[in-house]
Amino acid sequence: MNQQFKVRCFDAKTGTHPELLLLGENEASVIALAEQAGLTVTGIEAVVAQVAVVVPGSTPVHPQVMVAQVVKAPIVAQPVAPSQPAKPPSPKAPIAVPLATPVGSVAPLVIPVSKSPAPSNPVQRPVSPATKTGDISPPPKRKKHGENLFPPTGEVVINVVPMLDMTFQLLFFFIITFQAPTGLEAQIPLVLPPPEGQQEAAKDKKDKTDKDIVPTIDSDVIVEVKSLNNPQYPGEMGEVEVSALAKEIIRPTPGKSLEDGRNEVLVRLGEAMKQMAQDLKKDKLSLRLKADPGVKWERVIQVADTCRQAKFLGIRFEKPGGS
Amino acid sequence: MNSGSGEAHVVEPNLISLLDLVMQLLMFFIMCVTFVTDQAAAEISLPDSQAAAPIEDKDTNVQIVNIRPFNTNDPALIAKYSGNPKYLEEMGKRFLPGQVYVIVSGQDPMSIGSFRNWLRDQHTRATMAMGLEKKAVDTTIIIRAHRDTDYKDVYSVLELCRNQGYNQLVVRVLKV
Repeated sequence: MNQQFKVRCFDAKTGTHPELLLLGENEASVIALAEQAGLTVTGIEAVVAQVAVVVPGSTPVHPQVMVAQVVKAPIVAQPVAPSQPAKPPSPKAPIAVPLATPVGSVAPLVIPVSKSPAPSNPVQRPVSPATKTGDISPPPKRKKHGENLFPPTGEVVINVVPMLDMTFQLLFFFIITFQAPTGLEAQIPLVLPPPEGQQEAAKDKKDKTDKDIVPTIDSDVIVEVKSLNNPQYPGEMGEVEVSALAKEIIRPTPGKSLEDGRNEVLVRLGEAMKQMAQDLKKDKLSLRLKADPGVKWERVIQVADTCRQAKFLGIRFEKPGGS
Repeated sequence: MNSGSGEAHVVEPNLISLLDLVMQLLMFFIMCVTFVTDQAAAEISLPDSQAAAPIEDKDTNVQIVNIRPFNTNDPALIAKYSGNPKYLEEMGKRFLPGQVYVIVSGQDPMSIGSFRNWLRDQHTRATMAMGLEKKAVDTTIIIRAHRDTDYKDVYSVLELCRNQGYNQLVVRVLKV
């Protein structure tokens, strides 16, 4: 009949000194068993209490338990309470390996208890009070970290690291070449007066397509931007002349500063154009915009913008007037 | 449990979620990228406008013409050629102060006279490419004139384009 032995040994792999309870016919067989598992036995001692724990079908994790599998015997690594009374060895099998230290002074357990599923028969498993409330019985499905991370079950694991590298490359390329869409710019379509002598000729010829016909706007509304003619402010506009059925000259109130006077002219021009838009009652309003040669482009666009706000969307730029 | 066990524990960060995020960003930038860097010259300060129409994207066949008066003391020009002051000197020999010059992409700044010749060449090439005798081509000319340009200079460029056969003219402004 198998007997239980308390074995203290040295695990060269891990550098620990586990203390085990092993089953065997005699001490020699137990030592052989331990050596088979790669453990150097430093002390052995028979335990009178009979074997207790049967762990059928448990998943072996630690070499100590692997030992149990080797002998196909219900052996389990289990903590040994320090207070457990040392029993004299059986006369049949005297101690082969002398104990390095007396059993009573064994340090508290450092046995790596296997995380195998809890035994179906939990009886008689001596548990030290310190571990009673601890995680001696972890959930059965829990896996040791690093183990079975890539289980050999045919699961394909894609290595995303090179893809990530390449994606970052692309990302930085696009970030660097990124330009915010220039939504700030807008445009004003315009037409010019037809070239001299071409207006009728273009309309007469049938073989010409639409592209060949110079688009033009015929409007009776003429807005003329006059230069301020002040050498101190080159390119500034002075008065604005609006001529439709009647001629209206909008000029700034004397004494106003340059900017105020200009703003006043633009405001009054806007009002006049809105009034004219109401009077004309047309769907498509258009005008001819004329400016003195030296007027700044910015002022011309300001006047054109004011007219566009008054729904005069078709603008034909006229040849600069003389001055 | 693993202290001193000698077992190599590989810490594996979860890269999948990171990859998701990076892909999102990547897609955003791919969608937003505009490789056509608009033949716009940076030193042009456009006039402001409130009622201008938004730019239509459908016009792919465009030619942007930048117009600007030259001045050696212009801060915008000094800033542009800060890395190459010699070039500004060179331009000073070619253009008088206050003279208007034209910039089109791929060309050196040119006077209005040179621009006329260049535009004529362009027009000849375009009509030959179409294999037609047509005078007009369907390229839209986009005028980007600096706000300090005189009206007569902008008009002369506009008229020049029109007389060459470019009938679709548009001026760019800055939306405010």
